Amino acid sequence: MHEGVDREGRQLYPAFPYDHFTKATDEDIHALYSFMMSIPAIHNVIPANQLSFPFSFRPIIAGWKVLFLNQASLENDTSESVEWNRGRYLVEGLGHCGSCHTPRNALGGEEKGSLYAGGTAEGWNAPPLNASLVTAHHWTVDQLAEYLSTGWHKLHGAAAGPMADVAKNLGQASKDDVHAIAIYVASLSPQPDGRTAVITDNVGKNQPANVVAIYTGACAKCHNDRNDVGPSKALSLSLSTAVHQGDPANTVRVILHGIQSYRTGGGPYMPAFDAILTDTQIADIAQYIRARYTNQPQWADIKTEVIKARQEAQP
Amino acid sequence: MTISLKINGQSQDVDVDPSTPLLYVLRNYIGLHGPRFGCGLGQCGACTVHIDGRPTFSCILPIAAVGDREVTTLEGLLEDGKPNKLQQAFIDEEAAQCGYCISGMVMRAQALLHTKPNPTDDEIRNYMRPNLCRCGTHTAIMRAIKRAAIA
Repeated sequence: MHEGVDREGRQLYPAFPYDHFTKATDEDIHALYSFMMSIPAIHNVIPANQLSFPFSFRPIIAGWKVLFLNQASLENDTSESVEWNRGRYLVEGLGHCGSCHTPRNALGGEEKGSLYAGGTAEGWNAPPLNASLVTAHHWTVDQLAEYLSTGWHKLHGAAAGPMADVAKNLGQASKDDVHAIAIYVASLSPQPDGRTAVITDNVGKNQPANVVAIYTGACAKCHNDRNDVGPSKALSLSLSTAVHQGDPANTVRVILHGIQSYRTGGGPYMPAFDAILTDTQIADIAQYIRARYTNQPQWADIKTEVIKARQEAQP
Repeated sequence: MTISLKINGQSQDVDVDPSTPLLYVLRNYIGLHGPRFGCGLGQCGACTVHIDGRPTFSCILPIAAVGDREVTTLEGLLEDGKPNKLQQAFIDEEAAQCGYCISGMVMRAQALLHTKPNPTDDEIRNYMRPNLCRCGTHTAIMRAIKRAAIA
């Protein structure tokens, strides 16, 4: 957990995020160890390493560590509150939020100069947590805490893709810890200015009739813009972070696969449109939503993104 | 606006607003009552039909988006006017309580058997997940699908 070396002394790939776990205290690591050792053992055959040379040669990871592994522990920042420091400890350490939300360089190291400027996860866009985040309005601490522990907030939308699993796990974490995480994450971006969310709706401006018809029949029954989220907990798309992002990765993937993660818990739900709409229709709908609900430019190469996202989903 | 649809092997022209969900067109304009209106939000699966062989919620599929893709409803599974193997298996296993979800269940199960003629229990459970049954007829539905798979 701290050094990225297994019990036989072999170097571990940083896909296991020890570059973050190294910030966890010895006490927490011991607690995790005790918990894991209390779970009955199973027989598990470890899959063979499928990386090609030279990456298959584990000792080269020692070189990666010289460049990217900083084992220094986090010093308490006395200018900040106890809760903020607790939040930073959880986010930088066991939470390893930067593994997805910080961009990586060509060698797979996190770009510490661009901390939380946004990255990728399993094809999804992990949005920036800092000032470069483009949304309809800023997150407050309470909104973040609710979103992180339930996967949804009525003014921001649902945690989808890999973030859905994070929210489901944080739903089991203590309220105090989730609140501390929210305090730290909120401190990374400008604070709310007290204004309510700005709803953009450029309805009726140069929008092709067939795309409007598909949007009306397929989307608008739930995304009804009446401030009434209904049983699927669907928001006005003007509030969606995905729709405001610079690339269409998340919008395309949500349309294709829907939001299925909270099905048994009564959380947000969206049906998958992969069998309902064609690639061209999904691309057209995404651009329509972008044009209607944001003042951002149209996305480039959207059809390519739809085809890529479909291929990723093939088992 | 007149829109041409290919339904159960036949071409049909309908004159309705292009945003109208396929389900409403099937039931109200063409008189095919196999697909049911359940939630209208793509949550329950009672409206399931096949679009080019893939199970699809027809309540959130506007007819403007159907294009020249082939629509198959519960009625389209009949063979010589009689229930096909899967439909008969649902009857034989009495896999219905109130019956409201069953047409959608048959359509989704048929799509599974087309791609996987002999699915495992886990494959059936996983594939059928989008369709809901409030009566708890799941074990009978499982038996019906397996009966059709083996037969």
